[in-house]
Amino acid sequence: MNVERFQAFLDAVEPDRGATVLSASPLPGGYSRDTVMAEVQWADGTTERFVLRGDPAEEDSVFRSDRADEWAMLQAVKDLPNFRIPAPRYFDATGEYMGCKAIVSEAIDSSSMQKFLDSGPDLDKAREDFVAIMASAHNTPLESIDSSIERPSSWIEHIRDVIANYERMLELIDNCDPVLRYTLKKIRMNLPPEVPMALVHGDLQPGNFLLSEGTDPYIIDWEFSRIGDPRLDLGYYLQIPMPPHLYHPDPEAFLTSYRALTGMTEEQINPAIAKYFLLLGTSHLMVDIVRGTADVTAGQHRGIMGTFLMTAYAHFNNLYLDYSLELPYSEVSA
Amino acid sequence: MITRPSTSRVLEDVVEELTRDIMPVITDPAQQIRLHMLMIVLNDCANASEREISVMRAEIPTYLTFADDVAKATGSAEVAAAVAGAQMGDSLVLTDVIRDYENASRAFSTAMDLVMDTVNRDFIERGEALLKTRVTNERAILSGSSAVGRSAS
Repeated sequence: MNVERFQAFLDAVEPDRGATVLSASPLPGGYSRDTVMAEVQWADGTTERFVLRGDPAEEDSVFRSDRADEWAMLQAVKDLPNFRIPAPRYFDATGEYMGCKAIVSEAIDSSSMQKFLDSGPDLDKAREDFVAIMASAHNTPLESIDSSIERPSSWIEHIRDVIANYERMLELIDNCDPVLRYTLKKIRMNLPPEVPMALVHGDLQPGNFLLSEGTDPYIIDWEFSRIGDPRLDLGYYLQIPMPPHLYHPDPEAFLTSYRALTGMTEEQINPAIAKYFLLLGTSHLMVDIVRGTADVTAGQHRGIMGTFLMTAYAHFNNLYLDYSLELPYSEVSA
Repeated sequence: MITRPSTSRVLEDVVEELTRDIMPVITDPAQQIRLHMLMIVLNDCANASEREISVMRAEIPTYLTFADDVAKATGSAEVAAAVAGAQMGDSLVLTDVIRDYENASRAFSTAMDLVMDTVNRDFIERGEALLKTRVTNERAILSGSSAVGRSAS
C-alpha cells in the first residue's frame, strides 16, 4: 500500500472525483495488519485523510484474520446508534489495486484513550468511561446487526468452539505443552453460566478507543469481532499490559458498573468469571501465536513476529497457568 | 575456539552493536520498533543458548518419575506406555534433547490428565508444582529482557 497503488485504486473507485494522493505513510505499532495514513486532494480542492488497513504478506505475518469479514462487520455496525466507528469508505476486496485486501476508512482527528490515560487523568472516571464504551458495544441489539454476520447456533456451541482453540493449539504442537493441556482441562471443568450473545469486539482495550473533541468515542480495529459471549472482551482486557489498567486496581468497582450497564448478574460476571474469560478471550490470538512458532520451527519464515512472539507464548503460558490453577476441580466437563 | 566467546556472549555483543551504532541512525519509527523487537529476540536466544539444554535435561526426569509413579499407583496401561516411550537418552545434541523433552512432556500430560479426571489430590499437587517450575523456567529464558547468561566467557 503506497501512493501509486492508492492512486490507482481511487482512480478506479472514484473516477469522477479527480483524486490526487498526496502522501501515504506507514503507521508503526500494529501487531497484525499493515496500516497506512494517506492524504488525498480531490478535484474540487478539498482534502481528506484516510487510514488504509491491509494484510501483510503471509510469510511476514502471524495473526490471521479476513479483511472481507472485517469489512462485512464494519458495514453492519457503521450506522448503529450505540457507538461510533470511523466511516468505512472503500474496500479492495481482491488486492488488485493495493497489493493485498485492504480497507479504507476515514481518518479521525483524535487521540487514543490509552494516550489519554498516559496523561494522568482521574482513573475512577476513566474506568467508568471505559466500561460505558465496552457496554455500548455489548448492548447492541443483535437484530440491528445485518443477518449476514454469522450467529452461533447456541451459547454452548459457541463456547465449545472457543474452548476448542486449545485443542487447535495442542494439535499444532503435537500435544507437547502440558500447561496448555492442563488449562484446557480446567476450562472444561468450570463452564460459566450462560449469558445472552452479543457483539464481541475481540481486541477491546483503550488503545482501540479514539477520543475526539465534541463527539462520542470511536471504536476501531474490528478484525477479530464476532457475535458471541461478551465476557470474552472483558477477559481479553484483563491481560492488556499497558498501564494504567482500569480493571485490576478495583475489579469489583469495574464489574459493578459493567453489570449495571449490561444487566448481567453477579453470578454471570464476577472477578472469578472474568479471570476464566481471560483464558477464553485470548485463545484466538494464542492459536495464531502457537501456529507462528510451529511454522518457524518447521523452517518457515513468519517475519519478525514469528520469533518475537515466542516471548508472548511464554507470557501467556504463565498467565494461563496462574489463572487455571485458581479454578476448582470438578467432574463436570464441557 | 568455540568457547571464547560463547554463543550467548556473541549474541549479547551483537545486541550491543545494534544498540550503540545501528539504532541511533535509524529514523523510521516502524523500523526502530522492528529492530527493538529483533534485539529482544536475540537476548532471548542468548538466554536460551546458556541454559535450554540444562533446563530440559533437569525437567525430563521429573516428568518421567511423576508419570511412572502415576502409572504404578493407578495401574494405567496408557500412562505406563507413555512413560515407556519417553525415556531420556544420553545425547546432549539440542535436537535430541528437544525430542526427549517433548516426549517426556506428553507422558507427563497423559498422567496429569488421569489424576485430574479422578481428582487425585496428592498427585495433582505434585503435578501442579512441576507445571509451576516449567513456566518459571520458560519465563526466565523467554523474558524478552536483557540476557541473564553469565556472559563472562
